Amino acid sequence: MIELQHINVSFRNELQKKLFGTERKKVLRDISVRVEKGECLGILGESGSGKSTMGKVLCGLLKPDNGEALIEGENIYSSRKGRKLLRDKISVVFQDYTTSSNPRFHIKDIIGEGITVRERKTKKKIERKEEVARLLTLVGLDETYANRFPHELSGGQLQRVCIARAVACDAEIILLDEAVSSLDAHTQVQIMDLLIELKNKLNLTYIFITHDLTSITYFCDRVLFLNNGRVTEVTKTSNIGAVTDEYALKLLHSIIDFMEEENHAAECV
Amino acid sequence: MFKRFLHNKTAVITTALILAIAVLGILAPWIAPNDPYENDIINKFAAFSLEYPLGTDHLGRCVLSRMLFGIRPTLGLAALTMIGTIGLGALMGLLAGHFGGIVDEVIMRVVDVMLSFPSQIMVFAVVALLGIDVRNVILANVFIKWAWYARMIRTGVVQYRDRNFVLFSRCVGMPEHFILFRHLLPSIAADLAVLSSLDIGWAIINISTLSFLGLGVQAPIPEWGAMLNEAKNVLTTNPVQMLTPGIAIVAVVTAFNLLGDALRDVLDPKETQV
Ligand SMILES: Nc1ncnc2c1ncn2[C@@H]1O[C@H](COP(=O)(O)OP(=O)(O)OP(=O)(O)O)[C@@H](O)[C@H]1O
Ligand SMILES: [Mg+2]
Repeated sequence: MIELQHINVSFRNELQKKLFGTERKKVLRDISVRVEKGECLGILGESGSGKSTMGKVLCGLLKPDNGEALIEGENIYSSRKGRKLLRDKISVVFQDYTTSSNPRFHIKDIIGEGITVRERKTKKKIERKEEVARLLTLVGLDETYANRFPHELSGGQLQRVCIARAVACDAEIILLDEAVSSLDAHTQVQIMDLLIELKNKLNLTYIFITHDLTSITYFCDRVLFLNNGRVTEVTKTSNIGAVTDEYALKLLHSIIDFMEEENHAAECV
Repeated sequence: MFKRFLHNKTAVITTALILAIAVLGILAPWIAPNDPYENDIINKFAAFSLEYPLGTDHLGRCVLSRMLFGIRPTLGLAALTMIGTIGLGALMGLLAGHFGGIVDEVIMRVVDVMLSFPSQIMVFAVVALLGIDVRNVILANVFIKWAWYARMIRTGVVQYRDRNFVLFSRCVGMPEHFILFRHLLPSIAADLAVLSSLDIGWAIINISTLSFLGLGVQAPIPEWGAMLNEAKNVLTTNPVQMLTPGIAIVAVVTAFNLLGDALRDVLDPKETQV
């Protein structure tokens, strides 16, 4: 339902050799991918490989230099209809949760914004207080958090508030940029189970950005490997052992090694 | 937010003082002991008495009554100046910050030019150009001051428009007015409140200065600056005349400045409550 075709993105280089230099740093090169309705696509890549940038392009916040971003065949950036369609269908959890919520809002207003989005879509009034309480319990937070300010919550709690807000929007596609990475293993599983349950119930589509292989195998149907702005391989999660691409292999092995070391360390303790 | 305000002693005291003065100004016709325009040459420079609680001036007019009637032009003109300044500055700043590109460039270069003029001289120039009139004094003040606000508000908009919470609103298609009035303006409002409560003090002094120089409010209208101007003529013989309007101006301006500082604390949600 959402598709990228030959996307290129570059940023201005801050360190120009010439005074009026126009050198640009390429961040995404010739990205093409198609996400079907009801699937969960994982995007895996090392830090700085352009995952978040790709997410920005997907949710309509960053116009690519060239290439097409389409939703149900409509262009997200050049057609009004496509933009409207995308806004109605997408919701997002950003990587940086510290700036994801307005520091002047109470938690209930932060989640309330998502509820407003749903109200605008369904044109039905929703009982605020109850809905906020329901969403908070859904992500494993106490109802009393509703009257707090973001700075009075821990990072992981804030991240869960952002997930609650994204879920509140009643979106068909949810983009999760490192949404569970800052949580402990137990809460991670809890949130992912919640998301899987929602997905099965409402036939949602997820785009799941992470550098964590375990959560990908737990959560995603397909994985896209990103290396230095290039898609190196796209494969079914069930076939992840059979990747052929050199970079993807290297990435997999480094992660597996790391996990083994971790296990070993855990055994020693 | 209101509760935090009530917890801040400085904010409460200064606001109470300012409100009290404003109420006195509104009620002036009913509470002033005498007619502020009635002269009584024989009784000039009278000392404090029951009939004239703060004495009389060089024309024998009741100083207290003139002070009370003077609140309206003094505070009112300053308030008008600030409304005009913030209105124009906010409009320009939001346009520049929101649209960016060429609109931003044009507005900000005009702002740069405005900021590079020495402000006091600009006021004189504008008043000289347009003629001596209260309306022109306000126009002149707005004219030299809006650029500060335009720049501050633009900086604020640019600073916040790429924050993730704004990006989220944009991404899920919240209307522009929500982003503007719920996210951007409240984020800037703290700085705006601080700057404007400091600047209203500046406006009071400026209007009083112009009246003192004979360019603003004209005699016989009672205005604190104009009263100082009249008192200066008899500075050597009756220095007490300067005292009342002088102290009043200092007190009000100080109150506004302290309020500005207190607001900064009140409006920051991270500031722990005392
Ligand atoms: N606004 C920007 N201006 C200039 N360069 C940028 C900008 N945003 C990102 N970049 C660059 O683009 C590259 C990719 O950034 P991106 O945020 O997409 O990485 P990432 O894959 O999400 O990494 P991480 O896993 O650390 O979040 C980085 O090298 C970064 O320096
Ligand atoms: Mg990232």
